[in-house]
Amino acid sequence: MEDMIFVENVSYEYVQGTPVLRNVSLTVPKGAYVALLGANGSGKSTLARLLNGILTPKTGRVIVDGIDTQDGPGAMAVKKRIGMVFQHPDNQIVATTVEDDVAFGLENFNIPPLEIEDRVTQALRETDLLPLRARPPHLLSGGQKQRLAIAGALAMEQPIVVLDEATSMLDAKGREDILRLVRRLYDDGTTIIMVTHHMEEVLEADRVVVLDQGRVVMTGHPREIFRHNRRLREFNLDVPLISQVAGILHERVPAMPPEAVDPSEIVMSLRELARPRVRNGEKNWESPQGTERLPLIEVEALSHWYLTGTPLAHQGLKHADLTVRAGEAVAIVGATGSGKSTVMQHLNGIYRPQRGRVLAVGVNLGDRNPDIAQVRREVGMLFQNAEDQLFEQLVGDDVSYGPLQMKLDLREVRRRVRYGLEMVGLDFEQFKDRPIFALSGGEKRRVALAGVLALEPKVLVLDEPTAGLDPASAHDVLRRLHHLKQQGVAVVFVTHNLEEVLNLADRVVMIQDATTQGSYATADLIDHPEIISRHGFTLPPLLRLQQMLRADGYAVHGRTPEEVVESLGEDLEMLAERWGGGVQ
Amino acid sequence: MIEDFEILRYITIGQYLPGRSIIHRLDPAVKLFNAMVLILTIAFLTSYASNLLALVWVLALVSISGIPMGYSLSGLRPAVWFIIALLVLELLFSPVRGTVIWQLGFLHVTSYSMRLTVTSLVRLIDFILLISVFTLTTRTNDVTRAMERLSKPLQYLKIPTRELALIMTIALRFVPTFAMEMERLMKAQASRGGGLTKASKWNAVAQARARLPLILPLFLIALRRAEDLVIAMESRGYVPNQERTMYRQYHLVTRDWLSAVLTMVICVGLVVV
Repeated sequence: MEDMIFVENVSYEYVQGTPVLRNVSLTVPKGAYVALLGANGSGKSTLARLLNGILTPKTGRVIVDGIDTQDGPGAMAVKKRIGMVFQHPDNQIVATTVEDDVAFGLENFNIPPLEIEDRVTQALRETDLLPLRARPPHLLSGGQKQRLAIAGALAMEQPIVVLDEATSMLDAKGREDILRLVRRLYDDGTTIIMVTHHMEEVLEADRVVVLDQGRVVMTGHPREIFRHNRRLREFNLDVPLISQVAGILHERVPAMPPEAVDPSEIVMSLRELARPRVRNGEKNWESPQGTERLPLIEVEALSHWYLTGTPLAHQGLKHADLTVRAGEAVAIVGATGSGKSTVMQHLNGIYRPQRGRVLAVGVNLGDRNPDIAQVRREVGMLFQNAEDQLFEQLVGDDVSYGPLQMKLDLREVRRRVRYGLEMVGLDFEQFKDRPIFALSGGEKRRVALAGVLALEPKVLVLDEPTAGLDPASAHDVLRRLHHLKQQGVAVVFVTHNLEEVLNLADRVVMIQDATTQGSYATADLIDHPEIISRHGFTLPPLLRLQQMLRADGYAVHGRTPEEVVESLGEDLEMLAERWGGGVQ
Repeated sequence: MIEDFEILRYITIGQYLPGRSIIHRLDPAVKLFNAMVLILTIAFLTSYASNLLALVWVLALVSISGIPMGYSLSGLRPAVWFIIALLVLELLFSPVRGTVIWQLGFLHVTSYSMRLTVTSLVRLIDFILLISVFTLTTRTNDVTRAMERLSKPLQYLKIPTRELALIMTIALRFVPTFAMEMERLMKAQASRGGGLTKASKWNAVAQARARLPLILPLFLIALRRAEDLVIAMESRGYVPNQERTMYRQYHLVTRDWLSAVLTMVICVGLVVV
């Protein structure tokens, strides 16, 4: 096969002395599907930008379809061949309607108008955007925006498509749509380069290139890569939970294969070692029946209309019920546009109930003159991409904004800033005078969280607290939330990531079509995952695995890979005894 | 600022209301041309009669277009106190001409200042309604393309009309995006206890300081978005001032010519009255 992309000994630095890429070499055959995997700061986005000539290498060369990107007139030719899809859906749309945006690239390459029309229509049909062709971009969902970016590449009939973390801002559905679409492009012969830090997305590729600190550190088939569990974590990458289960099982029972990417593989290998159990998986754990604590937030029959009294009025919420008690974590799960953010913004009085009842920390928000200041103080709220909302130059100043608004005396303000920073794991003395711009993305998110915690809220409400973070930072944020929960703070978080729910939530409220679907204990959802599917959500692999194991008679129950393996109990010991020593 | 976080409610620019009226279907450039001619003409009308007739015609246009009157006037709301102040000043401080109706010290209300005030108000309403009719019945990209087409002759003066139109498009494209961003910033600040301190409305320094936490992050977000956008545009082969084809092709039909002629006739009529 001929090489479509040829990268030879490329180094690159934005600032002299701090190389972002060091001596990277890479070849991508025509029609391949290559995943570029790396944590934040590994240089993967820079490499993507070198491929289409936006950046040109300081040393070495990049050759695309036989054209050197450094060759002046060749630059345009390279751009004609490579379609780019970037991370932020909003920042790559130029025009004010869907179809005009698809046409933008074609106009730049002087395609005659009649042909543009044909190509635009065709590209929109292939991306299922045809019914939305006249829609302005701000009324599209994130997934639709990314599909629009891909439609732009399709219309250009580009043989290579580079996706630079294109799914990191999307919900599960949007992500699936994009991955399916990319798969179809690949089947039609397009060369795909997928830049990502999400391991699940790598499974689609036929080759993975792992970058760490500007160097290529691993290459191979996804399965081979997954086997190196520990090494991947050293590069700040997460390993899919199923692969983690396989890894732990292999440690305990060496006869189990060390790698698996799908629940069925683990189940099959278990069947090879031991016949499925006859006894049906009975419960060997206690349902956590916590004492009924005082409700801090009660929402009843809430509905909400946006832009009432204008021609653009629409109902954002039809019916929501929700109770949050002290010291528990509640997840609100739903797709983009399901109304979950609307519910959330009622909890601290940003929105007042138009119909229905909201009682927050003892204040009825439907009253004529509720004590909003008290609600805002006791119900802390962290919005999406909270790091964008920081406004001071120094960390300590930003965190002190809330306490200063409360007109506390300076000693108390200082104490609270210290408390906030320490709760998110940032040392007060070390961080209070740091300039915010010098922090990493994950640290900024933590500073924003500290700013809310400095109010010492009883309830903490978070909108997609881990979205857009790399796995290491995301884990860290979840760990902090766990800790807060133990301290007695009620945590409410809105998410579309069900794995996160398993990790943190005691209860789950699913929301669909702007209506809440009742509240379930996470423990019950683990035992009855069919509830999740019934409400139209895809089961996280870890739950699918447990469902399958239970069908085989194993009484498994766990939120994490470790817990799942542990819950195998004596079955595991038996296996270890029988297959433990010396086999394979 | 605290109670109502729906910024989009006050932004009627760039909000297109789909419809099938003849005004919706007019060629955007012709529509823009007609609106401009009308606005220019109305600006020079001084008599009560001509202003009344102009208002009647503008109201007729609104009802033909089928957009709700209240919604098209909602753009006025943020400026309503300013407008009232302006009108009062005009009423009281205009040069003394015509018959004096009321007098107190150096304050005069004369037949002249009365007419000036009434016609100013009518004119303002005309303008707002005309602009609303145009923007609410025309898709944003058609608006900028219409500007581009009307300003085409300027190309011969080496004015980069196409680039200016693109800048316009992008600016309009990001209005709702930034409005939503702003809304989120306001909510985030409110959640941290901001906006609840009761600084007096007239304490400009305190008010400005309270806005700072909104403006700064918005500025940073805008810069980052701009940077991303430039890279995305370059990746899609955009080079400033290069020859580009145009996806949208426009062909004038009979109703476009008719509307232009009708507008001209009405304008001449208004001036003559």
